[in-house]
Amino acid sequence: MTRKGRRLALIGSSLAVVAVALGLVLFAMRSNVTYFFSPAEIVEKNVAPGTRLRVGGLVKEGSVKKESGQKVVFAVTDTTRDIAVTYVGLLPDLFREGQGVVVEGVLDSHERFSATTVLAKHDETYMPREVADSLKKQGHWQGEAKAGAEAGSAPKK
Amino acid sequence: MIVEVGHFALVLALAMAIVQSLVPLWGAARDDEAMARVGAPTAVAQCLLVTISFLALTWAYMTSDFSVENVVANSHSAKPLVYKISGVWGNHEGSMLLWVLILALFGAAAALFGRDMPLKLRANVLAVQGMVSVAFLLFILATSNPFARLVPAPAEGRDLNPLLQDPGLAIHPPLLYVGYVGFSIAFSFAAGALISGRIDAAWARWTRPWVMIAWIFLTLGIAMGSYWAYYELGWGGFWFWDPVENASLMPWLSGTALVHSIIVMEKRDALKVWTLFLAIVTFSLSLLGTFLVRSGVLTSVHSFATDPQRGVFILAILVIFIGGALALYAWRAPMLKQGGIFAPISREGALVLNNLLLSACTATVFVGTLYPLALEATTGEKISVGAPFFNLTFGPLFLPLLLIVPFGQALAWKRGDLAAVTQRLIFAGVAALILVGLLWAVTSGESVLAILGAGLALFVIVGSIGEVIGRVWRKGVSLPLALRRAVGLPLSAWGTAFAHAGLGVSLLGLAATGWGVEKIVTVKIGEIVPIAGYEVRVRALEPRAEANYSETVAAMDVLRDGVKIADITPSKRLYTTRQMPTTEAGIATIGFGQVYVALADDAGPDRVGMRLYWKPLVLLIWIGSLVMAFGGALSLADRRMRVGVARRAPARLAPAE
Amino acid sequence: MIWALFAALTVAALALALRPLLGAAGGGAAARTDADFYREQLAEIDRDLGRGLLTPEDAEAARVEAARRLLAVAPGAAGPTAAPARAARRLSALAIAVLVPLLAVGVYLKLGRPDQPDLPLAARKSDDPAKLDLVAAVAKVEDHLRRNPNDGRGFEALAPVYMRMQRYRDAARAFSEAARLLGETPDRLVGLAEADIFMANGVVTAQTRRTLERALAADATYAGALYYLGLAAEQDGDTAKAVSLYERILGSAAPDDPSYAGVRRRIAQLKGGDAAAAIAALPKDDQQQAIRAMVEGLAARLSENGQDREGWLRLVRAWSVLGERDKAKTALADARKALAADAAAIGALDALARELGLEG
Repeated sequence: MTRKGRRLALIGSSLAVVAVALGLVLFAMRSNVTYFFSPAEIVEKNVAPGTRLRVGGLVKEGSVKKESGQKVVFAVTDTTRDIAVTYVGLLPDLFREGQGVVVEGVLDSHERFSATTVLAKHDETYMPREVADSLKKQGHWQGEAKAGAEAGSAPKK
Repeated sequence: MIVEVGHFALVLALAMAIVQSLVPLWGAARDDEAMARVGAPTAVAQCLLVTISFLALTWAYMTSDFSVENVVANSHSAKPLVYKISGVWGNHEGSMLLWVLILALFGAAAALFGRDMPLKLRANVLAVQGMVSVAFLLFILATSNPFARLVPAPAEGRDLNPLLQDPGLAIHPPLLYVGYVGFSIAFSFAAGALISGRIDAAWARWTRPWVMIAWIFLTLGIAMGSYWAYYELGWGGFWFWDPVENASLMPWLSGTALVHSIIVMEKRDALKVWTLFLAIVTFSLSLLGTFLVRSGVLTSVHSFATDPQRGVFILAILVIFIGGALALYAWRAPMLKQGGIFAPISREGALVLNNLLLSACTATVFVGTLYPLALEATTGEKISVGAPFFNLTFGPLFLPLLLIVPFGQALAWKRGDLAAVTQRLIFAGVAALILVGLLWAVTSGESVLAILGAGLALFVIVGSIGEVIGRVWRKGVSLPLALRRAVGLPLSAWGTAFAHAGLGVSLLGLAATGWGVEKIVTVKIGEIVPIAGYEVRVRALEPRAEANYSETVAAMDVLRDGVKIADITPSKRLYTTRQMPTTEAGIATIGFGQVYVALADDAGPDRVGMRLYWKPLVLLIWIGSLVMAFGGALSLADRRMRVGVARRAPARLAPAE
Repeated sequence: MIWALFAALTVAALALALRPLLGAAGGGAAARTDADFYREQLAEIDRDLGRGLLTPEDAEAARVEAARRLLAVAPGAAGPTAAPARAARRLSALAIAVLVPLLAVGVYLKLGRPDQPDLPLAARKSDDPAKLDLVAAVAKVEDHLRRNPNDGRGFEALAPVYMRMQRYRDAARAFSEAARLLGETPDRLVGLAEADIFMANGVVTAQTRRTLERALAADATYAGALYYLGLAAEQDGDTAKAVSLYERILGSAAPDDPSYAGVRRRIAQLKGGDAAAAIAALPKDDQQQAIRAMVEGLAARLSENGQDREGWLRLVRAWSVLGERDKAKTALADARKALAADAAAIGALDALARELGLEG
């Protein structure tokens, strides 16, 4: 094989690999990424039922109901709208009412959601990024424990 | 006082690093030998100073010195000593100090072991290494000072995140950092060579051991981290395509490419420009990983810190170093002479294909990790890119790579004979096909991917080991002769075989996840749950209280045919200081497989909810990684690899007098 | 002592760094060139071969390679020369010797606390045996309460200790147990609310608000309840309500009580902070108007409730700044009347009047 031929083989195979990689990425981007919405945005953007997505917000106080066989029903709220979430399985350790949560699964309707994964915040100062953002937008999130520190200066009677 | 000495030592280390990055560079540029030689002793001094600093912080942790803010935030007097010590790097500030310590250790090692390198190259390499140190020391002192004091000191600390209170954490970050930071040497060598304007196979020979060390540790670090997530997070998964995991996978992939391309460069004087580029890219990806984890742009289990100021600082470091190195590359690389020609079908050709595929894999992971961030930054839309994306992009690129592994190993340099190699690999191919057939028959065709994966894994294992065996033993060769030959075979050949076989072993473990079983049940005490030929019986539920947590332990037996074979105690813990609940999985290892139990929230006084898994051959995933790292270590131990880096009669090194 | 250590570190580091520059430069260690390097490599290959560390084929290959490189670098490859420019070397040595200590000490003085001794826990424990076993004492009480779960006093005693240990969940439980067993008092309810708020990172949840309202129903002037309800109102974005709640705290307090300084500051921030920003955004003429309206508002408020010393001082100053000397004087007189009982306030008013030249 000539030097030129060798070079062509090298360039050709590089281009082939790059093309395959690019094709795969573009194809996977179309169908295999999950969008994130808050309950209000689902209605706002009129997301079609059957879509796979992530929904984030707070677990509504008093909404968690454990049913038979590890089935759990609870409401995720962004304080404007709620959505009822059904989930079968173990809830994460830090799943609590009034705390941030992200659920991934399929939208049944604008009011109902079947989750396959539930992610809760991982420690006291952590909140799923999406949740923190969407709550911040609505002015419900104080950011770290600033407000708590402020509260510490409260006068005692 | 010890704390303040540590603090001062850190500042002084910065001053030393500045000297290290300027004087040798200047000296090399104006051919002044004495100035060029300043690099080595300053690198050593910087390393000693950072070590003092790190020890001082460790001391503060060990003695629970709560006048140090960092200790207050991340420690507690009731914590076991081991976790007090591992707490040093279990937080942002301390882990950055560890990062710099490892950087300085590598710098000093390069200074001490590089005494045989041409002086100019060595001066440039150490200067670049010094610049990286300067950047990160500045970062620590300006935004993340672990020595900040808190007066008056509080009476008690605020504990370490209990998720992180685990032997896994004690080892995982240091391993990972040695890997990440180790590539800084490759980067410095590349930049040094570009500055010197000369590069040849000897460069490859000096650089290769460092790349190998970094690769070995990164391999171990990733494996360790994945095992930690597997048993500590209680979800039974071991790889989540989490951005933090991807951040360590990217340098591993391009580092693996580098390990291979540098061999081509050393042996054949080819692929020089490409190898330099890979060296720069690999460390850049390490920096990117540090940025992703440390800046808080991703918030996940691993991100203990969020502070935009830090993010911007690291981003600046990232831009300066990557931009600077690539600019230098664009300017100087065209001047480098190309050498070594080879036919497409040859060991070089196979390694080029390996590099192409690995680079493409790196690129897909890069896109999948950064695209969501870029999209959110530009349009505000939030998406998550998870396992389905990576399975679809990474998988099809990585699998062909596995297929060519045995071929590449068996092909000759310069011009190979594909037909002959195929003939030699027929044995492995047949073995793989038989395995596929057998599995197909036994599982009646369930989970095709797992079966094919297992077949491919066997092909890689048999092909890799078989190649070495083929070199020492043929029909008619007596056993003693074969053994003698095996001993005479260079260690690096064994290293290659082991590393490749390890890859196959890991793949086998991964393929076997296709046969895993998962069950979610709520049971009464005494009830028996069957799972994949085994049975799990809940014996009792016991509350228990320890110094810093209280827990509910479910004592369980694992039975086979009614006979008890293992005892497991999964539990739900509540760490008191942080009021943080965690799930401790109960794991029974049976052969290479595991029965894995994670508890749910209490279902009642005599009932318990749980998630049960049978994970066949799951341990092979990590055993394979260990074998890979072992292969790397063998290769590193090869005498020939070190010719050129080897020691002479111990020359004078400037000791502190 | 500590500075002696710093000096020792610095000197040691400098000794290392300066050695090549000052030491045997020029002579001594000969400059090693690339050619030397390959020559040595050739010798080493022979040695290794002799010791059987390399196979003959490998050795041959390595030898060929090294020889080739030796040829490539040999002509004119002088490497760095040792001779030239001692001056530059001296200069850089001097620069290092001066700048390194300067930089280190300068940066350290800015960041460090050289006067601050180590405070290992062990040493502090022996200092203060009382503090020693807070943890152990708590454990003992916890144990006692596990056996006597109806001991309300025990929970009551433990709750504030939990708060101090930042164990908010336990504190909340203890407060609510105490309230259940001993009856609800504003103290217990506010304690519970406070624990809940800390647990929620400072957010006052709806449930917490109900707890606080119960406390306030029992004691309408309870400062803690007012404060946290004010915080809740702030979090709802209802600044006016927050201010009125905060002002109720001050209404029931001595005006110069320093423990209320935080509340006063908060009120000032809520009133001033947002308003000031809003005003700054207005065009010039409107700005004057808006400021005037604000000052008028302040005057109106003070005519209803004259006990606000800060308010009076601000009013007098504001009129004076706006150029309304007469109004300033009137306000000053009104203030003296309203605050006649408060000697400190009168003093402050006198001082202000002198400062602004309103007297005489």
